[in-house]
Amino acid sequence: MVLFLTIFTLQGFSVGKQEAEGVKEITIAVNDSPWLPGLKQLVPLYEEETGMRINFSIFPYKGLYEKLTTAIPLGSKEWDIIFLDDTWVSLFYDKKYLTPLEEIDPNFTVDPAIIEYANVMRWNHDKKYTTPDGTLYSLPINGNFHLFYYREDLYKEAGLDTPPETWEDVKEAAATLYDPKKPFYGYVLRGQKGNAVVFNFLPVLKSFGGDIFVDPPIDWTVRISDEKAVAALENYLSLLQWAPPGSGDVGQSDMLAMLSTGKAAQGIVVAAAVPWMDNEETSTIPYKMQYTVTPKAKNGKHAPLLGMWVMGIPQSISDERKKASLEFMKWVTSFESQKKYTEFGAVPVRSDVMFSDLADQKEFRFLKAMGESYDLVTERPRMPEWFEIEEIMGMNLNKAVVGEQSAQEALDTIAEEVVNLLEKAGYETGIAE
Amino acid sequence: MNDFLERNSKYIFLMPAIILLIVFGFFPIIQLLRLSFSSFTLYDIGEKIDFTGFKNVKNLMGDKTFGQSLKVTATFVVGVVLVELILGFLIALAVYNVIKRNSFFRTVFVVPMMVPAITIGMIWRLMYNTEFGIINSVLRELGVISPPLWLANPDIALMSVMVVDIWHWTPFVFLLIFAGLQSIPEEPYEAAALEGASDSQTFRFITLPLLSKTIFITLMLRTVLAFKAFDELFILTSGGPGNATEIIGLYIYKTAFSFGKIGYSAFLSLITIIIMLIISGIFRLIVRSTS
Repeated sequence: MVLFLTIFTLQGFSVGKQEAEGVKEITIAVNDSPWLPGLKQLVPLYEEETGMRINFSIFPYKGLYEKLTTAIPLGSKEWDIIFLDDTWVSLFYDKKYLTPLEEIDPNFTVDPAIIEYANVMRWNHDKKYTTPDGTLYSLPINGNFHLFYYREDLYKEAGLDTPPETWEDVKEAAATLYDPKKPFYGYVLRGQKGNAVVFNFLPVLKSFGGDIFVDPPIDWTVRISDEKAVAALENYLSLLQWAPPGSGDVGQSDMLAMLSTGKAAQGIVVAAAVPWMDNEETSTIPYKMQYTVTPKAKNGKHAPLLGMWVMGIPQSISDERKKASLEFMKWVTSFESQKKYTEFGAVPVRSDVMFSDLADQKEFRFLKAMGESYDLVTERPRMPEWFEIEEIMGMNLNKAVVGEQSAQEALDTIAEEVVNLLEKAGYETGIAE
Repeated sequence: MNDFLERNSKYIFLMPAIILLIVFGFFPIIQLLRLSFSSFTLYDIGEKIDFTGFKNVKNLMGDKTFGQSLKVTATFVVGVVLVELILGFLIALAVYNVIKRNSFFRTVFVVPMMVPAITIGMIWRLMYNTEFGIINSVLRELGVISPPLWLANPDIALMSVMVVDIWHWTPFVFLLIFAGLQSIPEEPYEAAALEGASDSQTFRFITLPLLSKTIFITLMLRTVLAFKAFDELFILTSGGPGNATEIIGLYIYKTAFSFGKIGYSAFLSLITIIIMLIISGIFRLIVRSTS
């Protein structure tokens, strides 16, 4: 007990001492992600330039969420910058756990080349949603969104047009390239229960002109069971005939393994996974994978889904630490830093990097697809109830993938349960006709 | 003063342990009770815990998912405990009688219990992988054209995760039963041998009755532990496909950290504790009656 109290007191003393002497180090709370190595390679350049030391507190994805949601509301001073998944922002913005960036530096404006990602950096406290006129709370640090990965070499061999634009193009290729004897799968989808299947299905849903709600935050009417949504899910399920058996248990790592070991021809995957495809330690098909915008329905639209991260500054730390943190954030989102960041294997948050000379290099060919996609991106609803909605969708979509429910049954159940949930939470909602 | 210290020395020496018990034992239980009767969410951290009476009881009545997870848990617990008891018992008997208490085999049989549950979950998930897993690769080599979808088929997913739990915890049962066998005195066996009793008669009338207390204590411990299973299933299936393997622990975790409903998940935890207390109470009565 005495030892515990001594250690606790000494730690508090050292934080106070650091603030008194001027900020010499910044600690960042981050998840153990595929792009973290890229950031870790970048920060020594900042340390060299400024003499500031950057420390990382690394957690698994869910562990980071648990840590931040329990520590930050209680005023923890442990971290200077926290990284947030774009689905977590509503809690941290709405409860003002983060410092508005313009409060730290009234002259600060976001560089126009930094992508807005459907207003993810800004929160409107009246509408309780991210809007273009909201308060600026964060900057993006990982501009991850969906791309369509496809084996261009196999497409060309089979005489198929590239790149695939529509789901009809994709299905034609899947049927042509599928070879159950090898086996080689024409398509791989991520059908595992929960976040996996929801994340994989939403770009398909939106590409058919469907969506979960009519117009958040203005109209929360649920439209997930309308005819466009049913058409989208039926399209998604139709891909199973060319997909590996057991798609109901395929997660992200399984999907990446299938693609990078040459067992599957194509699929919707996040941009952050591109390094897997060319790295000879993880891939048997280096430089054979090509990337394009996620497919659309014939009369639909391309709708790559965001799966990105932002960085914000907690309210609880001192003004000096906030200023030091903002300086780092500005540096890391500059053109030169973002170019190096991309070279180190991460995903840039600036459009000018996507159109730079890097895109002409074989290793960074994915930047062309990113440049075509970034202004088409869509987001998951940024609301506190999202996780419960994702759970409802994840359960029922998974049941559809494993054949326990039809597309209509799954979507009807989702619509009903989401409406019940939102009504209990005080939303004005209903099921769209 | 010295007199006071001398008279009360035992209480003074016990004080640190009592303080630790209060801080790390009673305080969390009081907090659990407070949260159980509130609608506290992750959005409310830093604010006061509101008392909402029996609202969570009403929520539980309408919660079909909890009912389903209770059913899955019951199937899981009964299945793994029975198989582990039989297997653990047989292995203990074999090591005790046949392998003659060889310490090498005793150590080997205990290894699965020493591996962290997260590691076990990850290894078995890789082994069960439909395309790349070693189990299906071997089956394909043996000519099986469509090997099972171990974790993707809702009809067999629960059985697949039960196999992992059995692999992990049979050594625990083995250890307890083996210790029980070692504690049985030799004299009844000598007397039985003199009376001309057969092996099966010795087993039925001496070994089993003298081991019955150990068996019931083992059953009680394993039942309570199986009820609390979480780590392996979290890694293996996260409760899927659908809710085929969503046991209570996973549902409570999801309610707390995915839905943010801290109050309701505390209430579900309280219900789970009550169920486990009832189960262990029943076992304790049985153990007392066998004594």
